[in-house]
Amino acid sequence: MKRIVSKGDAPYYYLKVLLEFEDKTMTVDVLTFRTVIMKAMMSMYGEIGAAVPIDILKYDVETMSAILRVAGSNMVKLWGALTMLSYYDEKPCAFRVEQVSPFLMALAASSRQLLLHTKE
Amino acid sequence: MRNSEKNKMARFCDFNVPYSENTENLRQIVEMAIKLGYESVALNCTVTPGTTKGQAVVPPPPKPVELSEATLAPFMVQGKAFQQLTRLTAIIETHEQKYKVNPNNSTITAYDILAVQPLNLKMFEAACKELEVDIISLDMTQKLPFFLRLTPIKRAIARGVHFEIVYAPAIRDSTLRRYVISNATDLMTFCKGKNIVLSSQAEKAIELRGPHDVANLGVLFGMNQAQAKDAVSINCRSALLHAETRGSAVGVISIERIMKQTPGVISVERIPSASTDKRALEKDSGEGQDREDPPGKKPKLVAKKKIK
Amino acid sequence: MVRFKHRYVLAELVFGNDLLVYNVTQRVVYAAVRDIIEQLHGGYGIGLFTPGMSVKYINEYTRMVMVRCRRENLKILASAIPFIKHLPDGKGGQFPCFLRTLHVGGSIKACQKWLVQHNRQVLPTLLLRCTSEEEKSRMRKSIFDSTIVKEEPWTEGKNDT
Repeated sequence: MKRIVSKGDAPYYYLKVLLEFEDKTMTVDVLTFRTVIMKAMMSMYGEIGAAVPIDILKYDVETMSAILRVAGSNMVKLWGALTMLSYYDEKPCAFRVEQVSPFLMALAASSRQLLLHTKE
Repeated sequence: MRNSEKNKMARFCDFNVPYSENTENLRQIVEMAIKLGYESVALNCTVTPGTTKGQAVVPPPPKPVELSEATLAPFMVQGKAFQQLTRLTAIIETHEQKYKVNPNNSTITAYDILAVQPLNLKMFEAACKELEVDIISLDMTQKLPFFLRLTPIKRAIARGVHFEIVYAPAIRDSTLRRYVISNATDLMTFCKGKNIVLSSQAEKAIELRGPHDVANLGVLFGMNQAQAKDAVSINCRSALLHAETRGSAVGVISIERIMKQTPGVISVERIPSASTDKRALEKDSGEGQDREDPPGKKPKLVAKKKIK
Repeated sequence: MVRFKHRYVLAELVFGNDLLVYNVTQRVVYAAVRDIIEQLHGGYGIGLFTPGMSVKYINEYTRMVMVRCRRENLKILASAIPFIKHLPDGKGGQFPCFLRTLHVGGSIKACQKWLVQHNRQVLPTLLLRCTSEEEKSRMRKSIFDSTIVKEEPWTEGKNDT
């Protein structure tokens, strides 16, 4: 097997995110989700930020969680913009970034999200 | 992993959860903090030290929030404990107020962490150079009333005092955001990312952000990745240790009485330090406290160096 | 040690109508630059950019504008200036114009030295544009005022055509 060593920023970063509204009954579809992300980037980084290519690889409507892909140099910006978002359409909301990794495989199983059974 | 190694792992702390009488709201905030992965939270009381006679200088420290077993279950499973600390932020403007903030006042020492928010340059320099505080907090949501200078900041870093950057106002309001960013980046150029503590000041549970998210905000403000992660974990622990040495003699010996042991929560009652006042020392001698120095000699309180 | 270093961008205000009808002040230009940075770079850009940014000099007759920014923000300023499309004209409306960057200097003095040289070449064309004698004298006066440097005061003779 050949060993590949790469330094510096990875070509792509994958983020596993969850959109949480204060009103628990709200859900959004994938297009609105994309708009929310774009609004977050626009408000924090302006038009240049909103133009950053961000791909939604997977979206689950019930839990409002998604896997995003963004170029390595833009990862910090996207993460910061998602953190700073507090309102969408006048409703308070928050992005919970669960995992960030340059490898998509790492998002498949995460020890941070292990649910340990407790006595109810 | 052995227990000793677990204790050295990053323990994420949020040292600014504003304390309010609304216990339900406070409980929601603390529960959200637990859910996000914080292991230590400080309930912050902000006061302007009273100048009228007869009024207590500062209110007594708040009681920790009641948390149910179900919320604390993940901690118990991992063998860790959720720590609720109390913090006092004194807003100081005049020299009179500055003198009220000293460790001789027993109500003040009852708090775990002591922070100060200076409103003008003289108070800022006093806080950096002399005051016995652990955290210096600046109101970043407006244009700072004074210019930051390198010399007091360097002095503060050498003493082990930390600077606090608060992120919830930036999340709440987009106009405040730019002030926070510009003030925070200015602070970064002076302190080069050292001795910074990132905390929330969240008034609602929805304003809290996870520790890694907050570390990324630190990168945005100008720190590098390692410094930013320190700002939410190790620097907080460092500030807490600095606070604990106030209750010790020469920074080495301290007495702790472990109060109740509800599973998953440790609350610790610190016995306030031997007072520097000679009369109080003689009064204390009857209680049999452990003292290194003979009465009359001022115990030197030395800031502890950062322990990783 | 920690001294903020700045860059001074000298730009020329260009608009179609040659006559000076509009009242352009420092505040107007400051607001325009700040708005364009906010539009392009958002809250983060404004937060980084605004401290240290100011409009240092403006000459309505020669249409020179000098904007100061911190050294690390020079790229942001220089790349945002071309996006300014109009300025408020003082009567509630907006007139279309753009800023043409002429020179970037490290200090006001360096910019002024360059401006003197530039004015020497451009003054004849400027005078031709003026229609009345009163405007010509006003133009000359404003150029002389702009080229006076504290250390070596320029005399009228050196700027005469």
